[in-house]
Amino acid sequence: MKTYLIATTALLGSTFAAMAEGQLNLYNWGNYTSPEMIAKFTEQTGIAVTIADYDSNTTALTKVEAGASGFDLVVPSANYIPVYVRQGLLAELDHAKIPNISNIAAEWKDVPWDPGRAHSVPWQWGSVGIAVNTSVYDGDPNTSELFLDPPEELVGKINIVPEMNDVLNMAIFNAGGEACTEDLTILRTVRDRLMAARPKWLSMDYGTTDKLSSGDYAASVNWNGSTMRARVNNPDVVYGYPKEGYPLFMDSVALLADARNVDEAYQFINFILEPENAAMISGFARYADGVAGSDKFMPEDMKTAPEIVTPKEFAAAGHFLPTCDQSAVDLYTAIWTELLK
Amino acid sequence: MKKQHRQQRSKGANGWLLSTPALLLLVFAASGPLLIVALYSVLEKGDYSGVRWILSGDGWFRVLFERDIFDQTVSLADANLSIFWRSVKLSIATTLVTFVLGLPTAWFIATRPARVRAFWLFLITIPFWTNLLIRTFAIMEVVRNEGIVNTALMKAGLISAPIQIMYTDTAVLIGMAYVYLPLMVLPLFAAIDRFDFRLIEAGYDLYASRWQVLRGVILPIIKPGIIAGFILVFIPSLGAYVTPRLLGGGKNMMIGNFIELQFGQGQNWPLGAALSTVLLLIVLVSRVIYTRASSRDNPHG
Amino acid sequence: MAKARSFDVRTLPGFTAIAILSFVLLYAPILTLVVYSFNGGNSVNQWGGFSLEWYVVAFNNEAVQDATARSLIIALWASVISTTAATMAALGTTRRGRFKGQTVIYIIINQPLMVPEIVTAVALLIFFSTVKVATGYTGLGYLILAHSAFCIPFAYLPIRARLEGMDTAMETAAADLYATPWQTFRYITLPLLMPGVIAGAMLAFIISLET
Repeated sequence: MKTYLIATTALLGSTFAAMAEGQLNLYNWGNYTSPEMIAKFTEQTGIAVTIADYDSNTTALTKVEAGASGFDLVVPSANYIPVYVRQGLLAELDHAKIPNISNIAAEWKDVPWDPGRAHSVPWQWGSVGIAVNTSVYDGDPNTSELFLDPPEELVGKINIVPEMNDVLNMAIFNAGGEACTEDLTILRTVRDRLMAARPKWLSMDYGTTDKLSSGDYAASVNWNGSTMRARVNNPDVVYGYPKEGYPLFMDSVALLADARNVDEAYQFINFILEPENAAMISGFARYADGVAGSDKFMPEDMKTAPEIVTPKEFAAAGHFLPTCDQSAVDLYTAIWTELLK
Repeated sequence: MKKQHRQQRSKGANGWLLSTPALLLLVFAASGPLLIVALYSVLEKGDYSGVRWILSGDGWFRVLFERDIFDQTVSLADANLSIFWRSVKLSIATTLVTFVLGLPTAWFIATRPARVRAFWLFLITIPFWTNLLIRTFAIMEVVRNEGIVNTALMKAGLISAPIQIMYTDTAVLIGMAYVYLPLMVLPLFAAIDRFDFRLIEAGYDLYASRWQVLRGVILPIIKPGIIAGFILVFIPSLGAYVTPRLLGGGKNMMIGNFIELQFGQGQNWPLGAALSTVLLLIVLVSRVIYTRASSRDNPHG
Repeated sequence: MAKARSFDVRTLPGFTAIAILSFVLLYAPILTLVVYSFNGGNSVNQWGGFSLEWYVVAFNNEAVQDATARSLIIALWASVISTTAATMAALGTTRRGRFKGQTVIYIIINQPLMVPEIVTAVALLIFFSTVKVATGYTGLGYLILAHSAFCIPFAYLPIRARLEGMDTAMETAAADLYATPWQTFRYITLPLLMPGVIAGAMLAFIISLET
C-alpha cells in the first residue's frame, strides 16, 4: 500500500512539474490540428499542448459557457465570435504581444464579425458543399438538392454533418432565402423539406474524411478541406459547390476570458501567424489559412485543388454567414433539434 | 436482556461510524448531484446553456408534448416516445442476447477444472481493460460496409453488395451486447460456481430430460445470478450513449443521446434534466419489478 | 452410488459450442482493430503496410488522451480512496448482526450501480460546473472525488463477499489474548481480508479508467 501511494505521489509530482514548464489547453474541432505543427511548437517553446475535440460550434459554446472549462484557446466560426464576445467569454487580445499580427492577409485584417481583430486571429477558412462518390452517383454534384431530395442512387447512403448553421443555411439558400432569415414561410419550407429528406439520409455524423475515403458514405454535406483529404485517399470523391448557394466560413483562434495559461496562449497565437507554421496547419487539414505568404510553404497539390480553388462560375454562390439575432437562433435551434431527434 | 440491547445499539453505532466516509462521499458526489438534476428540471432554460433561476414547467412539458415551431399547435411528442420505446426495446434485446451467450459461457467456465478456471474467467474480464471507445471502434470495423462481416460475405459470394448494418438499430444492438457481455457472464458464473452438481444427478435419476433439468433444476437455483446479470446489463444499456452515438450515427437515438443532445446542440438543460429524471424513474421501476420477481419464488433470498 | 451414464452430467448440449463462440466474438473485433490500425493510410480500413502512425494520430483525440496520465492519476487516487472507504463500510456492515439503518446504508452504497451512465454524466456536469464557477477551482480534485464515490460499490462488493466468508474464530482468539481492536484488525483481519481488498481496488481502478 505504501509503495502504491508513493508511486501515485511521484506520478502526480511529475505531472505538476510538466505543468510548471508550460501547458496550453486548446479546444478545437476534431481532426483539424496539424500534429507536426504542435510538435514543432512544443519543441520551440517547451510548452505541452493538450487538445480536446468538439464536433460543432454549439457543443463548444455550450461547454465554454458552462464555465471553468479549463481551456485556454477556442476556435469558433466567424458567426459565433460575436456571441462569445457578447457573453463575455473572450479576452481582448493585446496586439503588442503578437508581433506576427501584421502577417494576417489584408482581406482578413478587419472583419465584420471581429472589428480590428480585437478578439481573434485566423485559423482556417473554407466552404461547405457536398462531397459525392462518383462511382455511386455520377450526376451533377453542384446542387443542394442532393441532400434535400437525394437521387435514388444516394438514398440511405448520404451523411449530413451535424453543424446547425451550415446545414440550415444551405437549405435556406436553396429555398431562396438569405442567411439568418426569419421569414417564416421560407423557414417552414426548409423545415418541411429537411424533415421529409431525413429518412433518406444514412446518418448525421462527424468524422466524414475517413468514411468518405472508405466508401462508407456515398455522399455527405461536407467541408471543402475534408473532402480534399478524402479525395486524396479515394479519387472517386468529388466536391460540389451548390449553385443555389452555400456557406463560407472562417474559424478563428480566440483567447478565453478565464484562460489560465495566458502567456503560453499568446506564444501559440504568434506562432501560428508565422507563414511557415500556418502552411503546416493548411497542409494537414487542407483549408486555406488567412496568413499572407503562407502559400509559398503550402503543399503543391493544394494550389490547383478543385476543392480549394473555387471555380469562377460558383464563386458568387458562396456567402459568409453573419451572426444571427437571438430570435433567429432560437428558431433555428428548434428546427435543428426537431431534425436531430 | 438490557445488556444485549445496549450491545446491539453500539453495534449499530459502530456500523454507522465505519460507514461514514463512504456515505459522506456518496451523498456529496453521487446523491447530491442527482437532486440538483431534479431541481434543474423545473427551472427556465438559459440562452445557450445552463438555466435561469426561475421556476418553469417547460422542461417537463416538453418531455411529453411538443409545440409546433410555426403554428404553435400542441401535440403529443411521439418522437420522444419512440426514442424511449426504442431504448427500452434495444436494452431488453441486449439483455436477452447477452443471456443466451452468457449462460453457456458461464457454465463452461464454472465446469472447467479448478486450476484453469481462473484463466478462463480472466479471459472474460480482459476486454474490460480496454477503453469503451476502442471496443466500440472495434465493433465498427466488424459491421461497417467494408468491415469483416461484409467482406467475408462478399468473398464467399453470398451477397453482391455490402449489407448496411452500420447506423442501424442492429449495429447498436450488436455493439451493446458486445460491450456488456462480461457483465452478464460474471454474476452467472458466481451463481453456477456454487451450484451443487449432485442436484443434476438427482434430476437425471428421476428420468428428466436435459432440457427439463436445465429448466426445472438449474435455472431456478441460479436465479439470483440471472437477476443480477439482467440488472447489470439492462441498466447500463438503458443509459448508454457512447456506443449508440457511434454505431447509430446520430440518427437512431437512444435516451442517452437524446439527453446528451439537450446539453449540447439542443441547448435545453431543463428538458435534459427532466429526461434524466424520467430515465432514473424507469430504472427504479424496473428494479422494483426485478426485486419482486426474485423475492416471490425465493422468500429467504 | 451413481449410475454409470453415457454422458457427463456437467455438460449440456450446445453449451460448449456457444461458450467458444462467445470467446471468439469477444476477441475477434479487438484483434481486427489491432490489425487494421497498423496501416499507414489515413483511413482505417485500407491496408498500407504496418505503421504506428495511426496510434500517434489517435493520441490527438481527447478520447484516447483520456486514457493517459490524467486518467491514470484519477484512477489511482479514486481506487485508493474508494477502497479505503469501502473496506471500512464493509467492516461496519457485516458480521455484527443486523442493526437499524443497515438497509439505508446498502441502498446509498449501491446507488451508483443503479444510476444509468448518462444520468451520472449529466449530474456531474451540472454539479461541477456550478461548483467550479462558484469556487474558481478547476483541478482534478472534483473528478477524483466523483470517481471515488462512483467506485465505492465496486470495491465494496468483493470486500464484503470476502468478509462474509471469513471465520471469526481467529479474531475472537486474538481478542481473548488481549489484543487491542486495532491490533486484531491490523494483524488478523486485514491480512485475511487482503484478497478481497485487492480485488476491490482493482475493480475500482478499472471502473475509474473506464468512466
